[in-house]
Amino acid sequence: MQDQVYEKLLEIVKPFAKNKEAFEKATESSSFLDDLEVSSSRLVDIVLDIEEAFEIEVADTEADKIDTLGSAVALIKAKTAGR
Amino acid sequence: MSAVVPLDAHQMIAATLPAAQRIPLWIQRGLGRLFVVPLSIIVIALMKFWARFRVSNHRELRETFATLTASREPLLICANHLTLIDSIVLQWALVPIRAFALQYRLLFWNLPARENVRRFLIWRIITYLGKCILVDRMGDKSTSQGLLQKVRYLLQRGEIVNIFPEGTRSRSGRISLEATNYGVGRILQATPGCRVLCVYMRGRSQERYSNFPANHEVFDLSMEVISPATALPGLRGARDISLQIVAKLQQMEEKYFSRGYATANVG
Repeated sequence: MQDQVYEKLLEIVKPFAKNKEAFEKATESSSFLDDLEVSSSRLVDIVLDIEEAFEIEVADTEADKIDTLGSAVALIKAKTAGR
Repeated sequence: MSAVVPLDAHQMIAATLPAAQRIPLWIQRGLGRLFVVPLSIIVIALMKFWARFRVSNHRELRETFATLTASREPLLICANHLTLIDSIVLQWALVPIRAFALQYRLLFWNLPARENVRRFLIWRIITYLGKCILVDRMGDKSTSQGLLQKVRYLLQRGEIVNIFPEGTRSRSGRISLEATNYGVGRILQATPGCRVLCVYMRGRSQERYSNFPANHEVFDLSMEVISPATALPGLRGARDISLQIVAKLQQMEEKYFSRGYATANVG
């Protein structure tokens, strides 16, 4: 499940990552802002795309805590647990 | 089904700001006020007599802006962005020096990127005295949250703030919805009742983005007050509001080009 979530997340993030080289080498510890060079507004787009793709709702306070790919995966897993 | 939620003045809640952020802002404002007249004379003289800039509809613009700013209700200026000195030209186009010498709030706050001004001491001094709050584009979320609070605080106290909703200069020279920065939407969500003045400004020989306009540039400006509204909460709402503003600027750009001013010979 985690791999599926991670792969799906990467598909969502890909068009927004300015640093394509960092994206190719991305790990769960990769930071959206610093490593992938996703702007804060595009990070909002990513969160909204995550909501649609995984059919979950992410509160603003939860969105503010998403800083790495891993933190996004953890949030998605927590929200989809038990499905 | 949810109803459209207008950004209603009656819902306004007084913004507070910790003293550690509030006091430096008012010190900056006070120092800026001391130097506003000499600094403005120098900057405007450089634009008028050295660079030979001209604004085509100066008088009409200033009259309209004076009417808009007669009230102290929050006013956020949202403009397109093509050169590093857009906010200075905009200020000159909309407010005569004598007006902001008497009513200092008419000198609007700006939010330039820190990396664009940090290289030269003189730029840092001018931006500090010119009511600029430097934005750290790569800052973390607490940085952007702090900026949002400052802007909200200033707007609710009748200060005027200028922001470029695209976040950066239009790389193609044309407004792009894809480049929209959602910060403007968050500011407006946090400042119910804030009026939005969309301004489209362009030099006639300006084809793409640049650091400075060409010498002898003639600027045309158009302005429109809009009231963005959204039925969406949170981040979706911020995005919706921001996109409405940038879409308006895009319409104003289309109108500009349909009038055929661009690339006219400027002597």
